[in-house]
Amino acid sequence: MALLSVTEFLGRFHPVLVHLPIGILLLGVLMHWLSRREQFRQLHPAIGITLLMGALSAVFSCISGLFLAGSGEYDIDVLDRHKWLGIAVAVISIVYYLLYTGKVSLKTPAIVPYIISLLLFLLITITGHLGGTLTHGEGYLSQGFSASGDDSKDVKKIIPDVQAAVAYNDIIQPMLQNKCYSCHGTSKQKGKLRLDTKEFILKGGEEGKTLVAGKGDESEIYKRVILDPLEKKHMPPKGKPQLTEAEITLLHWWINAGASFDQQVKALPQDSKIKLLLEALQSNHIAVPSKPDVPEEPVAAAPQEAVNKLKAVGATVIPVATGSNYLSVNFISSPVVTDKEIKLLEPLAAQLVWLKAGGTSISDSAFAVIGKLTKLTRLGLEHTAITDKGLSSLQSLSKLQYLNIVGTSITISGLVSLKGLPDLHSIYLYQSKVLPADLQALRAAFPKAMLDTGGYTLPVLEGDTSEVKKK
Amino acid sequence: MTQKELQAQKLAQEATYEQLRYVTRRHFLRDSVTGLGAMAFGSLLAGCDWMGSKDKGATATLFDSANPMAGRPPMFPGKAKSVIYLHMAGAPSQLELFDYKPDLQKLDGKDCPQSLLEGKRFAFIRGVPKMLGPYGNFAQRGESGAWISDHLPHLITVADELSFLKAVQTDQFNHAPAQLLMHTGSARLGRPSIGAWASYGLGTENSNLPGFVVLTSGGKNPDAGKSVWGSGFLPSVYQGVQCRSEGDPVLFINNPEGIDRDLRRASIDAINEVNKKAYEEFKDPEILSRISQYEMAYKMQMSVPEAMDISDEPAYIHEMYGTRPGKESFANNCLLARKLVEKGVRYVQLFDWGWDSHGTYAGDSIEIAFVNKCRSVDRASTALLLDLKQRGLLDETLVVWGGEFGRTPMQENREGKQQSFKGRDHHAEAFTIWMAGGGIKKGTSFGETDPIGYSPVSGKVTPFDIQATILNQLGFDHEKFTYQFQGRPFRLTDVHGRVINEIVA
Repeated sequence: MALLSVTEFLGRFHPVLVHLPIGILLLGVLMHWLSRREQFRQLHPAIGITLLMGALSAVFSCISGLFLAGSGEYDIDVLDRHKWLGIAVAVISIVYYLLYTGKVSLKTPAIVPYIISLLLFLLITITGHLGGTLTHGEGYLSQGFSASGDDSKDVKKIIPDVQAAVAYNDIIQPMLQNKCYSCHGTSKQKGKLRLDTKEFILKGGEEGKTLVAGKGDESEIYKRVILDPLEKKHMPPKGKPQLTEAEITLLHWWINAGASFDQQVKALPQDSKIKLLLEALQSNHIAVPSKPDVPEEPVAAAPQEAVNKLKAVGATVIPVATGSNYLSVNFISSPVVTDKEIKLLEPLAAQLVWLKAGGTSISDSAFAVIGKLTKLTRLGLEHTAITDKGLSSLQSLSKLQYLNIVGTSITISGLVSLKGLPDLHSIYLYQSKVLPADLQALRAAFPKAMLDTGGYTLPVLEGDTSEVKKK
Repeated sequence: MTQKELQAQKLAQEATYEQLRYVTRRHFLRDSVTGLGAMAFGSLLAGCDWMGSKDKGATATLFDSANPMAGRPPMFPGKAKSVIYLHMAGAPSQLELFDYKPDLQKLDGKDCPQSLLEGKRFAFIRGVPKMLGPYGNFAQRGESGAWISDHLPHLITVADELSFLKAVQTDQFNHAPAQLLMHTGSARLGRPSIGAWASYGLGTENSNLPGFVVLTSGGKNPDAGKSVWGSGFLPSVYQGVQCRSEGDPVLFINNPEGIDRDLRRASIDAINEVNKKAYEEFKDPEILSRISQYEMAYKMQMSVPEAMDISDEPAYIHEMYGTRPGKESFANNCLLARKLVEKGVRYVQLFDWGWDSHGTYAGDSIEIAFVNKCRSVDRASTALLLDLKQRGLLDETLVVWGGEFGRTPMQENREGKQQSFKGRDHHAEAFTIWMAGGGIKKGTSFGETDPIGYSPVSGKVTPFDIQATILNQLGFDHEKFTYQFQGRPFRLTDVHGRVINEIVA
């Protein structure tokens, strides 16, 4: 990093110094107006010196401000207005001081200093606001009022066909807009860098070129985003929304593919990983390996009375998340659970997604009730007396992903009746009556599911029972 | 109104007058002033609250003093319902187990370059130590090709279930502060442990068992003492309940001679009645905690001996874990951990002491003591994973295995002297932790260290990142999961931490 010159160093005091003229001059104006009243007459002698100090501090602020402006990190238009209004504040405050103290004896009507004080008040307000805009960015003052706030800036393009999309316009530009524009765009140009148009991106910033087309690893923009987030040079800076893993990978891919601003995605080379990420953009979803085990669509709250009845028999009824109406139920602390208690679940059919009924005293007639709980994604029936009889009523559980029948009398003939279930991905069969010989047939029936028959053993190794001794 | 009632009213009035006569003007003024002060202060506090009311939903306390252990939903549907944390207290050597460094072997016996020592502090290394090559035979295991040495011959068979973090870095090089940092997010005392946060956030699924159980083995409690499973500023019901694997699981859990269960019930009722009166007077929530702890203890008298009894497990399960019934052992604790998780306990914390391989004598040397430690945990931790898996529990139980820091690539030279046993000093800069189950990717590895395993070169993670990830798997955003204390919301990860999404499935 280049050393700061003395002027640049002094310039950095501008944001501190400006508060002096604002405070002192406003105090002077206030005292001036107050002193019109008899009871504040005694303020008179202090007003002159206050205005003088205010004017002097305004001059110093202007000077430091000019130094700071040289750093070039700010929006030119706003900066220009701020600069000239600031100078006007300094000039007017000097005139105000001279007129007030009578240092220059102009034959002006007595009202003139009051008019000047009002003008000064206005100027300070506007200049101050513009200064704030420069430091905090456009719309800082009002952002708390509009419901839109920062989040609305998060643009998400809907891409009907990702291969036909233009890589820059549809993938890279929205990413830059969401995560980079606030500091490298129209309102601010930190490090003299703008990323909001092709020309600016190619031009680079004060540390040189932003990207080297075709060489992702050598491009400054990529190096910065993959840097340790605690490093000063990491971008976006700590505390700002970060690029996701997928975004970083896509950025790298785009630069490696030549950083073209107009080519379509299909014209660029893609490996399987990139293809997957691109597809995720198309559906406008983040790629997820499996379906979530809680439905996304909202549901009405379960009838409280039904929940209370369940709790009364010792069941644990907990929503799957704060604010969600979907429920998980288990009977871990219930003393006795029979088919009668299972029947209490029926009114919760729309909300119940996870059910643990393992270790309970239910029998095959519970299947009729469980079959009605069509939202279930996870179902644990381990160590119960259930058999094949009636298992087929679970065919209606079209959302089921996880089925635990460990330690039951279920055999392959019962289980295959569930073969149509589309999302079933894990079936636990340990200590059930499914035989190892059945596995091949089961795999054919559930080609996508993980079938765990358990029964793992560990060989006894010498080290399990002996210790190394001192030689 | 009858005459009797009139009489009573008159008496009451008289009593009030009598009382008022004792209230002097001074009393009145003093009481008024404190009242005013309190009002003013109250409005100030309300003002503070108003400022923060924006995210009230996130900071509102979850503590329901009447039923502090009631099951509660997480912030979002969590992949893990419970956690088993296997802490190898004393810090096992990553260089002998997972972080394979053939280049270190080439440097074995050579002086450590000055550049690695400048500005560094070690617990025991003084002057210029020699480098120490890895002691063990490494190979890539399973389809994932994870490097695991033959010190863990059973674990290598489940390599594809594990997710390695190869570049964990902490900033503490002494056991107690490093353990505290790992489990409470602060190297100093006073913060709640992860397990306490978890049971505060989720309660327990089993109203007869505590939400957070601690099991220790290796003959010693961890150096940081019980604070490492403490509740800090959280209500004390959330602290870990330490259960012993030898003798009574919880001390004094059985009724003393001559006291039967009915008498015990009656005395608890009486004590609770007194406590309730005290609560009505002082409104201290800790009194409610105490009441519910008495209730819990009463229930636990029945449920804990049952839950903690591993003798009802079949012989083949005992054989699988390699348990030692009646003794204190890591294997017993692993089996217990599975039983507890099965019964709805949220967080089971195991500590196994004895991994501090300095090499000052045979009992803490790498070639003897360390190898024996590996043997004592290898079978049991593998069995735990497999047993959870075959019961369909592994995908909702997060298992974490690791120490509080790593060990140096250099041979320790305590007091500058040459040691006759292989040993390594404490090393905060880089070590390995693995996770499995609970929505963590299978068969992956994240992070890399330099060719001698001294520092991370990529994928560095900190204890805060591990804590953030554990909370994330349980369904909590570590940045929003807070507890109001001393005027500000506190987090487990304080101002640090990032969910290690690279290993989250």
